[in-house]
Amino acid sequence: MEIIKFLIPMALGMGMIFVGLFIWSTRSGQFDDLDTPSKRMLLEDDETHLVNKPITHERKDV
Amino acid sequence: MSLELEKNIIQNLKCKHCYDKVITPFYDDKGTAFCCQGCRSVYEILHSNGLENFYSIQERTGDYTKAVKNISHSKFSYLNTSDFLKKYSYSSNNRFIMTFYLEGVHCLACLWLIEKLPELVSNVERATLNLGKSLVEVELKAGEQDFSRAASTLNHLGYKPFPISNSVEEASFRKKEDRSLLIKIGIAGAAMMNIMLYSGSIYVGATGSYISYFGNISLLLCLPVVLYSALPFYQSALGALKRKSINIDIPLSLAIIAGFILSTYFVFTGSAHHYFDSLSTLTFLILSSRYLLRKVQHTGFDKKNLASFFQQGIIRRINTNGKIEEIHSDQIKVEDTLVVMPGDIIQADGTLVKGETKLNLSTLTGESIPVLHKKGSFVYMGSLNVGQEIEIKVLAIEQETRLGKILGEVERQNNQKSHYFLLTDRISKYFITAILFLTSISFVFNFIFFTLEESLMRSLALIIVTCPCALGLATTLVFSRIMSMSAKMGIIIKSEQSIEALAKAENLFFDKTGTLTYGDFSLHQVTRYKKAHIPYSIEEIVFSLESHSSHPIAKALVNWTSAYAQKTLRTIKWAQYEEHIGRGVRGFYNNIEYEIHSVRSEGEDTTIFLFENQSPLASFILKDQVRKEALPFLNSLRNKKFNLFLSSGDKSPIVEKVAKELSFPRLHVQSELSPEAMAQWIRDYKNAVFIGDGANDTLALSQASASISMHGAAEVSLKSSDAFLYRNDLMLVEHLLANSKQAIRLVKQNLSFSLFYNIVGASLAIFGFIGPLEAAILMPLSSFTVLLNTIYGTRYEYLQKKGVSNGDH
Repeated sequence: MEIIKFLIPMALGMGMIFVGLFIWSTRSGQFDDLDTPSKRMLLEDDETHLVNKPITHERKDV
Repeated sequence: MSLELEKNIIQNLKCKHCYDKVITPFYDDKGTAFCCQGCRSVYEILHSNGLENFYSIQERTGDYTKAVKNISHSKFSYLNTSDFLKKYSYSSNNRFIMTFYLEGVHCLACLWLIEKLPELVSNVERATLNLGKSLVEVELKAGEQDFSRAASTLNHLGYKPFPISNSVEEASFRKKEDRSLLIKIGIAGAAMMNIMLYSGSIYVGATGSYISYFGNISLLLCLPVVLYSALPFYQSALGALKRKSINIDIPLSLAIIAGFILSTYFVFTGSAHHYFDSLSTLTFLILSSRYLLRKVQHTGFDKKNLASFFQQGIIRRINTNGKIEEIHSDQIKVEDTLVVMPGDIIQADGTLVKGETKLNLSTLTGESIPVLHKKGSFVYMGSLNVGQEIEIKVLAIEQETRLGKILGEVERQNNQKSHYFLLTDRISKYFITAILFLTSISFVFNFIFFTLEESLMRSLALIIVTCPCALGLATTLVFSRIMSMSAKMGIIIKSEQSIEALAKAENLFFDKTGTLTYGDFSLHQVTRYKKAHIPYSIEEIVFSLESHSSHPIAKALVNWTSAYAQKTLRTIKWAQYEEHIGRGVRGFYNNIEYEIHSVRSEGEDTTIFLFENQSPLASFILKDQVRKEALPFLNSLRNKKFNLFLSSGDKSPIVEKVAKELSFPRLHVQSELSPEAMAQWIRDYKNAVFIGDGANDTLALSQASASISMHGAAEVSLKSSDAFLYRNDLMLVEHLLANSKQAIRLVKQNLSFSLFYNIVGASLAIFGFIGPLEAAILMPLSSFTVLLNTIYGTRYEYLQKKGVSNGDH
């Protein structure tokens, strides 16, 4: 059971790393706008880099 | 025959860009049809830049744009003047950044398109859109300071940009505050969960050296919570003490500090009792509920910018050389001569010096029918030009204008409203005073009869057990849940005060135009007298005459013709065509004169005649129709014992007809009211709620104890009203009232529960039946009870059902 006295500081150290990461991500503004990025990720990569390509999609009439 | 017939077959054409029905098609060189010039130019911009994916994203999300029509071709050159740059932009890393509010942003495709701005405009480095707030931040490349290209491109795409004067310090201060609060929550949360592991081990019977080991680790973990996360409590408590007032943070800070000192003492003396877990849980829960509330509140923009949304930014001024220059509305001076184009909003009070036109004065009077203004007439700021180009000489600007005075009054009212005391504020003040008083009494009393240590223990137990955690959660949580659930239904609520005021509603005042009616003209009755001499139907004659006019009546008639004919409408090529402002339109075909003009007998519905060589062919009665859902909606409110009133700036015969249709009693109806008179009438009633058009009835909205606006831009409406319905549906009013009532009911339940719990807990602690440890276990239990009750009482399905069910049970 003595091993626990070694394991706990290790676990706490790992926990600290995640707290540190959380602080970093907050400071870099990742939680500033929670609405837009959730929608932005729905846009596919090919759609964001389609500059100067011919029309690939015709809109259908309903 | 000198004139030729041109067959123009229009078959359910849909505009390629905005997907609206096409009435008069505009074609591009490939034969693609658009409903208007604006849509065509947007399509061309997208097409020539390889951005057609805009349309496929739209199709995939099923969310089609409603493009802004009549895009003006302003150059936005005023954006580049140094005065303007100084006021509206800021630079970071040698790059200029400006924030714009964009009108018409609403969907994923918009987001995609707007953030493509750097590909469309070469000097733009970055464009970042905040979809929730419709704000776009435009950053230019290093060394560039020309924002006009970005702005005019956004404008061409159909998103009208308004530069936002951001006091940079204020915005970045708010951002920093948000972030640091989040970090505090994160640290408290991490500490809380880790400490629980070790406290749990002690509770289930850890022995020997483990007790002090776990105790020391908990102490270490709790340090950042007490020293950093709980800082906001200490600050606000100190602030309250400085103002010689009391707030909920005083006992909170007291409990946290005292609990921490005592627990530390226990750890060092080797005792198994400590309260680090409850301290960090308490901090975490209260910080989180405050953060949530902060996020849901739509405070919008500063009150200072109240008028800015009536302003349109670019103004055309005739300078001393007689040339037209573009300036920002901030720069207008008295005595200037301004050019007002059709579709512009007049930006100052003045006299008309050239031309004649019809102005829509609904911002000032609530009357939706445009009024003819001739040379020499007085024109007011805020009126919309729906006729021809005119020139005006400025007599008064900003606060000196009639609109400015009304807005000033609104602002004064808003400030008064904020003195409204929040229910909890009052209760917690008494409560906290009582706790502090009780604690000192108990301390003295126990010190006299027992030892100092016993008396300290009992006082601490008392503070912990009566910690107003539940009280703090009780209201903030309810309000934030109700606000976010209402937002899900389509209602934005401004503040907690708004909920409180709406819950007290007894007298409901309805505006007529646009609230109980649709707010648009539609054809009510058509009478045909005879057939035309030429081989065209009456629909075709009307269509050909009116399709070029932008008057609301003309639009209603054109809508009728295309709906009635369904398939084929031929356009007549007129030999001569003229539109007379305020009189109607006239065209000649085969030397026969066709004319449409209104014969408006006072007080009746608007009647329009079609004449052939001065003899009537047909007559049309136009009406602003009552909403389909209006009567069942009003009846359901009547069942709930609300008093309903109808107020309108319209002519009384029209109002009386609507009142009769919706069975308003005679005494509850007033018509031909000026905004001032409407406000006066409402002021006489207690707990009055005004339901109207946000932008048009500002003064009346501010006089009622609460107000709801149905349409208009959300930001403008929320300035003057408590709630805004962004789905144009009357039934939401009922939901809103029910939600507010439910909020207050839940607050009362939570408050009475926590008061009951506190009284019992306090008595037990004073007489030493429970020690600090038991108190620390009891305290979070009360908070969780409140939490569960609130979440259960604000279930979405439950609220949804409650809104339409009959009355309160």
